[in-house]
Amino acid sequence: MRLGAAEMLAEELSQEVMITLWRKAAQFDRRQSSVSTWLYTIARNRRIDVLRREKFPQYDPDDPLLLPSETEQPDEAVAAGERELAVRAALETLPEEQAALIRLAFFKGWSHSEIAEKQNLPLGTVKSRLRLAFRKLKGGLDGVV
Amino acid sequence: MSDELNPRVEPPVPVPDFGLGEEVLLDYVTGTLDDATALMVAALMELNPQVRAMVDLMTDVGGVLLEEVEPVAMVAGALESVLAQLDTATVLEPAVADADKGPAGNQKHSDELALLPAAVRRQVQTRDGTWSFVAPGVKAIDLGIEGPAGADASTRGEVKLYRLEPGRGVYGHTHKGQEVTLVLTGAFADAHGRFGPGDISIASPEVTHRPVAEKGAVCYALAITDAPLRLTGALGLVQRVLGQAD
Repeated sequence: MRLGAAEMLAEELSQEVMITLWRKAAQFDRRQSSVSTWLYTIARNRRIDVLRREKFPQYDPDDPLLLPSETEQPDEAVAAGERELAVRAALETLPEEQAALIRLAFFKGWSHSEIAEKQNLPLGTVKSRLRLAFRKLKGGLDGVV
Repeated sequence: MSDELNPRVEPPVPVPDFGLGEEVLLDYVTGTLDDATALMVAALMELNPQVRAMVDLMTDVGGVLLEEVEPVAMVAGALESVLAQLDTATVLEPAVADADKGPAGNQKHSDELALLPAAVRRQVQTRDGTWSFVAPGVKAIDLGIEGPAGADASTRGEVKLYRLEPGRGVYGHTHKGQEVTLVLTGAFADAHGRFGPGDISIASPEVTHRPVAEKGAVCYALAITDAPLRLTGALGLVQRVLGQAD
């Protein structure tokens, strides 16, 4: 797990994610999301829980991302797997300077201001690249899913 | 590093489509956003399907990238440990918020609160605070979340839910830091324009603004300040005399 947590914490988190997956498997709806998106959401939420447990003992783990989207009702015929392929293909069309920042956000678990600081980039450049990247991804996927 | 200090010529940053830029939504998706702004994103997602779609897309990207990660060996005995925990531990499900429960002592607003985004409603219920007077026809409830650190890191801002009766407004004020306001229901207008549900007003420190709710509907708004408000005009003088501002 490359979420920036210490190794022991990563191990603990991995185990917790496996347990959560097992327990919530019945709630998984493949029409709503792909397995990888679902796994990412669970892992991310467990990390937030653990990192905030000390600072924010009252943190409510309920997350809108775990609930099915009410606003978007994808055609059931369109398999989530197809969307995943489309997202993967769209990612490959991004300029490397944009894709690299997205990888840092997900792999390192850095916020956009941490990316700017650690990569020695102006904050405006990071914002600009991320905005352009996700607009391109969104534009490329509209109509596909 | 500030943008001004960098000698390189920077391309202009595209204006956010939703009031909050994609980089803020990405911080939400990766779990690095501060609690105050995360609450605003969660509320905005419920009000604006485009934001919801963008957050869903970013989460899909997280899933796709997850598959690129090289597998890392877990410690010896990890599987046994997981299986043992599955056997013994009780099923932990998040407590389901009771949607009918209004904040204590404020039952008269419960019908209105039911119309707010669930993320905000949950926070109001969790906090169970009391409404305090802001101005005639205007009150606010502190949601008990520390605002993001502002330019002056020694002061922390706050997150408040405002309720403005039709035609009523907040006194003109400035801020030490930025004030970001998301309209949840109804609408308000100030010198910068009209803001309806899902609209975000961003007021910088030098701006004095006086938001007034439109006639016809109660306006609820979620406001994050990264430093306490400073009132302008006569009331500001009282505030300074009372020592609530520096």
